[in-house]
Amino acid sequence: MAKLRCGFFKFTGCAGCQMEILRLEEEFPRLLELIDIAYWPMVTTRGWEGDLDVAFVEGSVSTPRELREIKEIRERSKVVVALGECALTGCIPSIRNFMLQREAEKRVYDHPLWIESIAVRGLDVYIEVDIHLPGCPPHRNTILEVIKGAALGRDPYLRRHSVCIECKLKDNGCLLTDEGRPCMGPLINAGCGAICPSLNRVCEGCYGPMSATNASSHAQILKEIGLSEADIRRKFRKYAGWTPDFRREAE
Amino acid sequence: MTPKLLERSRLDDLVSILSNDYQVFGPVARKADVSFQEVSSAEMLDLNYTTTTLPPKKFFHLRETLLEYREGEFNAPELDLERSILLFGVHPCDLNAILRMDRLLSKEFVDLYYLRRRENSAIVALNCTEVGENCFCASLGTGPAIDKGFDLLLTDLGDSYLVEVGTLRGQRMIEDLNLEDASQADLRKKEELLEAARAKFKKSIRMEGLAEVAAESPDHEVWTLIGESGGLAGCFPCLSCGNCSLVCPTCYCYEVADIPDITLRAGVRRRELDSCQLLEYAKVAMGHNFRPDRKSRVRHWMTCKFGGAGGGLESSCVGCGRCIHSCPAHIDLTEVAKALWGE
Amino acid sequence: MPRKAVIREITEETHDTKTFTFDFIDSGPRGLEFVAGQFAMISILGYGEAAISIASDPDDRSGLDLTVREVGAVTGALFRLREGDEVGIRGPYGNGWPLTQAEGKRLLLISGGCGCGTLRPVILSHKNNPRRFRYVEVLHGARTPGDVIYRKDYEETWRDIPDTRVLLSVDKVPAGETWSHSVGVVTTLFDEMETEPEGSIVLMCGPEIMMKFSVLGLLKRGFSPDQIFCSMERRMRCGVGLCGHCQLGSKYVCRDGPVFSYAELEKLPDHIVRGG
Repeated sequence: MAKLRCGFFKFTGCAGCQMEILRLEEEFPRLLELIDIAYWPMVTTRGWEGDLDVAFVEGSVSTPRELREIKEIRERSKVVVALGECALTGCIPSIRNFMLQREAEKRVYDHPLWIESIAVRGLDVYIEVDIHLPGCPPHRNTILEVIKGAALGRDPYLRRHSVCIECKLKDNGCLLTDEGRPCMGPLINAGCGAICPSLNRVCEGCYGPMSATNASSHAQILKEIGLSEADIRRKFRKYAGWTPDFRREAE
Repeated sequence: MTPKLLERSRLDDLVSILSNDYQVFGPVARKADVSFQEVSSAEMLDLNYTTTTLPPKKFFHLRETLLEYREGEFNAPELDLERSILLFGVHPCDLNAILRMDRLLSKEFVDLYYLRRRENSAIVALNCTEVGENCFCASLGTGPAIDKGFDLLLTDLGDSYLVEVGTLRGQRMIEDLNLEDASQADLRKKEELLEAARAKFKKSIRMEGLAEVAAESPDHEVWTLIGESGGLAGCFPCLSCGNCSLVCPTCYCYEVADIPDITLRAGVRRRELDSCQLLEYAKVAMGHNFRPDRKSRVRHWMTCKFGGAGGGLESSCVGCGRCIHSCPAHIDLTEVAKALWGE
Repeated sequence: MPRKAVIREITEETHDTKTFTFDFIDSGPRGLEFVAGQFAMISILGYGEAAISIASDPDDRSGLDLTVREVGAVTGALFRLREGDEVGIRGPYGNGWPLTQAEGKRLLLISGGCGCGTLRPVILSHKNNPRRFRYVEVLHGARTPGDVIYRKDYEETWRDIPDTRVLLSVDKVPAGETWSHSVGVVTTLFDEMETEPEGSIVLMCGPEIMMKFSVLGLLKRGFSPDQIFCSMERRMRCGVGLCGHCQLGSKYVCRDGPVFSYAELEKLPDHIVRGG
């Protein structure tokens, strides 16, 4: 089997998704039997040459330069993987979209005039994405599944159901129905293994909306257990406020 | 065999005798729920529990490796059945659910994985003298008492437990305890307590004929209310989270997937409990989905519980109330039934 | 547990459809004893399983034919295999066509796209046993002439079977392709159809929207719901009535179907064959 020529790119984000790939320490030697690292600034100084079988793109598009680059990546890659929540939904950086662009720039930079930025958007807005790998960061097993799927020539097996399913498969008690705590699990894409609820913390929603969310119903449930409207807005805004699924509740 | 009497203080003797031959699991209180966990002494048990988050199906039908493959060869894996398990304190609703699962999964085609796990298990059941707020087994005849399916059956009489024996295996379990026979008064007390329990139920369901009513009402407004908007009896519209299926003691539907290892030359085919409430459940190749809207998915689940399970016209609902408790939107099966009956 | 089988032959049918002939290579028989209309689960390690209708000659047990359209992970992997490669197959599953009931009667077979695979055993059975059915009329529709599966059979071999009539139709004929049959959806063939409701059985397989309009057309022509049989397609994981994915209401497509009479389908939810 020919190895997959892979490139790893970082846009607006924290580099945590790439770190998650590097954390596949045990699997790495064997992973390198499946892939060639053609471009990955975090691990090699090699420049980007030639076309790619798979491009992993971390981060959202928030500058004109990134916008140009994502289009080039699309043209030069057979498969584009949106790696992690920023690339999917804009994630935490997309909170910026809820205020005026200039105001956001002014808050951060001494000389906002030097800044060239546009609204924070997922890759989908600008290019056709082949594989959406959710998570902040994506779970190592799902990253491996994407690579294995690409090597086998099939779509990765990534389920789009709620975190609740994973929670129940682990026989966790329910933070929402047993304890009345504001868990986002019923709306959020699984893949993490219900890591937060398993550690007695409510799901904050870092894997973004699952496939068939009912955000307005969940907003009513959160209100019923005592959250203020501002809190509910923040819950929806935190990771995926700019998505069609959550935007109404986030605004 | 004559029913026996086990003094409450000797419960631990029973648990430790059982532990010699079995890996014993019983209801254990956690922070805010109860769960079947391995126990080594009676004091770990919470026998006053009303319900657990996951039903006992977690021991028989949660996930399973169906085959293992390597270099093109494949075979069924050995099940990890080193020790027999014993489920202690199973309520009548859950035991009835197990008996229904036994039937559903051994029709024309037998689910060998499930049956092997079942055959490797023993059950000490516990009649219910207390009733949970979401319980409605009494209206289904699946509780608060049971008369079959157990090795031993306990009823809490206060100072002691009435012990009834269901199998030879059960008889052996208590042989060494030299328990005294229960008196007629003890048996009367059992019936009084169960009768008192029956009076405590707040919820009920009229199940007979409901399957037909539901099947004939695919466009009933109740499906829109719980599936799309409006709600019913204080519930919010369904979230499609799938909790109801996972906690239901008779939901057996599963998903199958191949999981290759990093070499791609070996791997496993694994199944895992699934839920018909998930969007992808009825999707076929080329992306077509036969139940794309929430309304048709909730309707499917409800009608299955009302009698569609396993292709039969027998209800698979045992009235445990877990779907009501675990539903973040408070969708209540008994209210849906009432609406369908026009009550 | 699947049985091991090897690909003996691959026949290209159209740009996205191939017929694979398999020989079982375990200790059992090389072919599969089955009833026309049943299906098999094909398994490719690392990709999973898919339900595929059996397209073999039911009187020839020397191998197993599956006509497959490339639509998903398993079929995609199958398309990359070559003759001599191994797969896993289990089955046959499902009820099959009601051929005992159809004996001595006129058969009307209506198919669309790759739905003709499950009807091929019926035509071949008719070819092998001339007196089994009184008459067989085949109506097959496809998108374009290039999408007609078994084209040579439809245009030549099957046309020559005694007491057989074959009518073909395509939705459109792209420039440069030749086509000497009808143009239009499969129901346009109803005007040329000879089969009368009296003493006949209709077997149908194809996209649900096609079956819906075919059923409507037949009912209008006086056919009754209990003489029309439809083969349904659903997501299947187990094939044996356990995993639940293929449920139509309380029925399992894999176990109670895939063939349902329209009289049954009328009462079942979650499909669009029933009008409205």
